[in-house]
Amino acid sequence: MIRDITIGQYYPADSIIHRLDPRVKLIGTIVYIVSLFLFHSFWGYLITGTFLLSVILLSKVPIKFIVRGLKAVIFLLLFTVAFNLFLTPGEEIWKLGFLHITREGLRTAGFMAIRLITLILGSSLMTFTTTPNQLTDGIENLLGPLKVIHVPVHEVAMMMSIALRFIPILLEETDKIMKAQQARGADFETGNLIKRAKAMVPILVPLFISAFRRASDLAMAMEARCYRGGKGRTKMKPLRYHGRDAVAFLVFIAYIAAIVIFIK
Amino acid sequence: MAIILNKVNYVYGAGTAYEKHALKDVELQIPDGQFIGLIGHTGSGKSTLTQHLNGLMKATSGGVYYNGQDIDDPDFSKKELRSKVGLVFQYPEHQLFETTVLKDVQFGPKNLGLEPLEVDLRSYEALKMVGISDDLLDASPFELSGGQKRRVAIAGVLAMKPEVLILDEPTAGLDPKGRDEILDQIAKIHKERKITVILVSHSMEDVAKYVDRIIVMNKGGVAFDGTPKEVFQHYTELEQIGLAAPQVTYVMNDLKKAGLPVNTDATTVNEAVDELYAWWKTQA
Amino acid sequence: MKKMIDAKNLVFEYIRRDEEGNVEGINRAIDDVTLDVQEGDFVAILGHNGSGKSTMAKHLNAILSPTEGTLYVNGYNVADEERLWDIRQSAGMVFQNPDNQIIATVVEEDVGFGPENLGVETKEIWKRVEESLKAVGMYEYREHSPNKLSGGQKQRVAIAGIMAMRPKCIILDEPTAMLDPNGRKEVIKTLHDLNKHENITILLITHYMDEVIDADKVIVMDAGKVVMQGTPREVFSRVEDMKKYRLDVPQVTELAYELSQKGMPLPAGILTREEFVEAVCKLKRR
Repeated sequence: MIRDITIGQYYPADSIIHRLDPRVKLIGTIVYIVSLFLFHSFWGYLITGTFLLSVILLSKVPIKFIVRGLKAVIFLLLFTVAFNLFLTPGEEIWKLGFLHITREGLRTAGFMAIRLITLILGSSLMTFTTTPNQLTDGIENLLGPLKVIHVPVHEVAMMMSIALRFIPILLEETDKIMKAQQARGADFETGNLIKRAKAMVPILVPLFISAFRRASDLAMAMEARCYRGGKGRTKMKPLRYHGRDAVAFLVFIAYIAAIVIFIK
Repeated sequence: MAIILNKVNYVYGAGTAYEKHALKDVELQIPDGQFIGLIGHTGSGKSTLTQHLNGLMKATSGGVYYNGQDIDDPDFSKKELRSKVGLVFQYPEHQLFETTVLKDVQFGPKNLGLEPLEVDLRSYEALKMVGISDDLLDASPFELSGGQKRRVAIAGVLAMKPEVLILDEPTAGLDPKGRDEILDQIAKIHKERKITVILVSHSMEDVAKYVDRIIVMNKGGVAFDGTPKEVFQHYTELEQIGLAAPQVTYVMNDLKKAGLPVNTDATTVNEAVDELYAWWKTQA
Repeated sequence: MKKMIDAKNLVFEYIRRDEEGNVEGINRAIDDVTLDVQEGDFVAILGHNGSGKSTMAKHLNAILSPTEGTLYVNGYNVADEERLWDIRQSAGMVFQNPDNQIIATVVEEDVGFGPENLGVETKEIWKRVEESLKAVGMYEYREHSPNKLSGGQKQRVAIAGIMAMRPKCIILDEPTAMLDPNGRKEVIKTLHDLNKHENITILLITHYMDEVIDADKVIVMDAGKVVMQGTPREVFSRVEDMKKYRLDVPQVTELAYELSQKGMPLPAGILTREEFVEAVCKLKRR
């Protein structure tokens, strides 16, 4: 189950999308997400959908792999769809007891589903094609101006990249600890909510201890490698815009233009 | 009775890019009371195999039988199975969570729903078996030394009174004396409680010294299965799958090649000493 | 030859406190240690858990500073805080748990982490990353995620990360304790290669006896003191002493020792199969 979560993972491949500057991808993703909420027409979604599909194809990330990422949020998705489906007032087309579906509800639910799916696919595509380090570099760079007002941009970016590195390790560790406690007869599956919450203690305590131990080990290892904050630090992969990034920006301008035309 | 594995297969992530056939048609019989060494390099399927024995993993195909019963039968209690087949994971000290040593050991028997008196009895006994003295019962497990923590964790499984005890590399990270102490204690428990012990280990020297049967795993299948003497005679084949025999086995074979009329089946220092001393007597 | 590490009467004490913060006692983790390591040497430190060897390692990297005595690393006094980064650059440190010392999510980026911190120019970082990864034999994995590597490979990446800082000395605190036999062999071979071809001084802390056989010098610690030092042959010929310090000797050494106890005239301190076979064959009746 835990292994199914693909959101936030990096998928190594050699594609134009992978090579784009992370800043372009970050800005692009934000623009894309905003664009999803701008209109309610079939044609609008056709544009956003086609755009996403072409970027996915360009990225060389297998569609199967991307779709698997949806599994993790399937409940959220179903919940939102059901919510919209049953609770939108309007022209009734189906009724059972207190449940009723309206034409408007069907329409909103459908749009909501498409919106959420494209939103999740779009943002996970960014993480699939951008290494966490590039991503944090991009964020650090874009937020750079905030340093003037003493926002610790470098430190936050470093924390993010370390968190991304350790999430899979801690997930694996959770799995291991769960199994070890199950081997001692622990039961996580039966009982009421309180009993189940209590059953988490034998997992959470070792997990926290391990996380703290890792954090202290890591801090020592970073110091041993002369880490002393962002000051005077150089970059192995400094961000530099290339021709392809300019092209990507042009594509985005065209995309925005197309949407603006459709909203009208 | 025994554990029987019949054509057990296990496939990870079927249908994905990460698909891996971790166990392939594994057939094994594990009779009561044996001391078994399970060896194989990382990724050979040993850990997957041990987790099938107590029902933490479910075979993709084939069956695992405990005392004749299919462990995947819905009527068969997994909880009871896990108390009968105790599994001590690698670095078991990482699972400690209670405020005192005693409470942590009580966790297992309590989960079995035993009477408080029985829980206490078993916990004291288990701690004694692993050599934790009474003055440490109320100490926090996190104040103990690495070796002591590991013993407490092993006691946590022993307190469930398993009939089969599986230990995944119980000596990892310990110093030489610490390794010997833990293994001696396990051997003693095996002898006194007459339980089956399965020792997963990377150290051929340790395995040769303690066990009476070795199962070698390679690429998800059983490559060799026999007494240490039988298995280690295949040292060339073992090397091909990334393993080796104890150093003394190589020494005896080298000596034989150099023309000494010695038996090459020694797998422990003591056996080699006896063999070589006997030879030397004939030279004097 | 130049002294890479020079410790004189080193003492490290830490104060133990009870739950209320009252001083319970003072522990001496390092007790009057005097030792030196020459540039280019491969030195192994043996000692059981809690013998003080890890505390010693942390001093060499200026993570801890001595209570008493003096310690020079590559000519820098570890008490001199202004030299802190020079010390860490010239004496890199590799730790036990391979997962807890890899910072980046891509191998090459992790190797570049040290040079980035040192403010090395981008072009030069790439050059160093390439050289370091090649030196440890991990160049073809440069674009991989560390999570997918074996333990031995992860440790080699960690070593490359240190190499990229262009150190003169690498200190390794039980780098093989969490690895399987093949991973251990990979790491030890890498260390010998670096020692031989790049003239890196190696200080290997371990409790696997077979990793120590090819070292130039072995130091044995117990209760914070240096209790034995010498060549592997000198140290391993004292089988009884080694066992007393909760350590061990290689299996052939023990075999030879047991046989000589029974009266067979075998030389002390046999370390390899070849030596043993040769010595036994000499006893053949002609």
